[in-house]
Amino acid sequence: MTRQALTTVLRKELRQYSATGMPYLVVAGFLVPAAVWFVWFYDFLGTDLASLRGYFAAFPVLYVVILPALTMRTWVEERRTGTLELLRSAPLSDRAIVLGKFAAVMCVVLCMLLLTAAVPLSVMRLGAFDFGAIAAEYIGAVLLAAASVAVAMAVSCRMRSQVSAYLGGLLVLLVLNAVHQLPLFVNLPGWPAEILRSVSLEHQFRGFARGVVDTGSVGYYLTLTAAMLYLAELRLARAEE
Amino acid sequence: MIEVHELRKRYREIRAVDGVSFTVGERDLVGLLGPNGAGKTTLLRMLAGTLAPDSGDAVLCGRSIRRDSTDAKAAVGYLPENAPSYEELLVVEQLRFAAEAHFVAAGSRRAAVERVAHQCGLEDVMHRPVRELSRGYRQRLGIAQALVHDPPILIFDEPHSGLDPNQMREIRGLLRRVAREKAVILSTHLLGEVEALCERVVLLSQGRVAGAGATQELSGRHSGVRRFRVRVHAPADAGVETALARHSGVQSVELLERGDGGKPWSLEVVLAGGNIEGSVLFDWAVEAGYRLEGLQELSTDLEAVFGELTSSEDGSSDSGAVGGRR
Repeated sequence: MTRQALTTVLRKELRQYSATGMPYLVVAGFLVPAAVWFVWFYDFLGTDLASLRGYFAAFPVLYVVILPALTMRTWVEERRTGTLELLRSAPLSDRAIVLGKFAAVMCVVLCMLLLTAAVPLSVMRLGAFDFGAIAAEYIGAVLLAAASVAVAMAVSCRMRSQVSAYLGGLLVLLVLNAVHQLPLFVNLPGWPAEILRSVSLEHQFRGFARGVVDTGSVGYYLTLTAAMLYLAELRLARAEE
Repeated sequence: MIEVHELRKRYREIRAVDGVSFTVGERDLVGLLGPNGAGKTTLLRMLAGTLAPDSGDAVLCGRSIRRDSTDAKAAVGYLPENAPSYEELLVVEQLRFAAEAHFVAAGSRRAAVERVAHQCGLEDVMHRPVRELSRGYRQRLGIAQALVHDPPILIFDEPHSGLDPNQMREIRGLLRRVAREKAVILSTHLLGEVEALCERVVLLSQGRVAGAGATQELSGRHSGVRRFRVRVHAPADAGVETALARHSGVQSVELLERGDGGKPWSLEVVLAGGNIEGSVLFDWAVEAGYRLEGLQELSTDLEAVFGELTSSEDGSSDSGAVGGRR
């Protein structure tokens, strides 16, 4: 029943996405800057290196800006228009509602990442690329996106307007990505600096960007995703109060 | 069908619903009345499963909203206030989603959508986006969504809100049709709609049941008075109003038009006390030897009762048993 409930919410969300055109903007807003960064600023053609590390290194920053735009309306619009009450009056569990919405955003993200394959495909014949490394980079990109989407969804759950949901998501993601930089500005002993590094979304992604799948990073992203979705579920249960 | 036991909900210091109990039988259409802030919407949200009660319980078709919340939700068709729906979707998509969300079997989903579209007069707008619909159509869509899984219980929160008189008449007809086989709770501010549609009323005030019973009973007998317009043939010098005022059970008489032998006397009479049946007036006319030409009960003021029961500071509280069949 939960699976059916989840797919019901997922289908509804995807129908809404396709009617608004928002995902197309978001996908374009990701692909174009990523490509411009890789070719122009990173100067991939001038590096003489058969690696996409520079391309994937831009993903955490772009996620911070782009993903809150996908999640900002998730709860705010439902609450504003009163459809959240309608949704919650159906025999769907709060977990199914949260997971359905999360799955819908991840569908858009996966389409977006699928389209980024145009970059590896087009540079493939320029050198001997390590496909294992590229696979690891994609695994990292998906896990980082899942954690970022879950964080942005949990934040937007508490917001009353789309603007505040977007800015809130952006701010929290920014902090979670840049928190490992704090020791550069504040003199911290070893262990707090290590903790900050371990909770940084961007820092955890560095291994993947190098083509290494670190099980610790996989665990961190999955745990963070689950925790944030659970928070969103708890918040949803109190949504009408 | 619906049994509400001592349901309570607080918002911080405010007791939104404070020990409400009542029952609604099969095929009952019960009006839920009360001033703004009386707790109507909070009560309906708890029954619809979108808000958890602090204490108490409600049993819908044998399923507790606390213990079997998901099953209880499945038994309810709910129209929230303002009939919300997804603006971006087409009407048919919205109805299909409502059917999916209530687990209507895939094989019968299409038929269910067509059934409610026909029932609610939505066939002409099925492929239009919801955002392009008029207020009346949106209300119909909201009702159609509530009906799509053919639930035994319907809960409607302000289904007439924002409608013009024509739309209101249409929705009234629709509610009458759909409510024939269901237990229905209808919350509204429009006392006229309650009088027109509901045979039973639960009146909320300050989160408590301030009155409950048959609509007629509540509008007339709850306050202990009934008003009649009497047209009687009597001689011009009969002093009908004085004689009538002295009759047992008559509280007051207002002379509307004096008779003159050919033309009947016209009076408005208020009956009060133990015997307030209209036959009192018939008996009086027979005893006095007058010919009664007309005896019409005036629509007693539910509004007055509403005011009387909801204006007291302490908000007298009791439990209401609302039963019987329409």
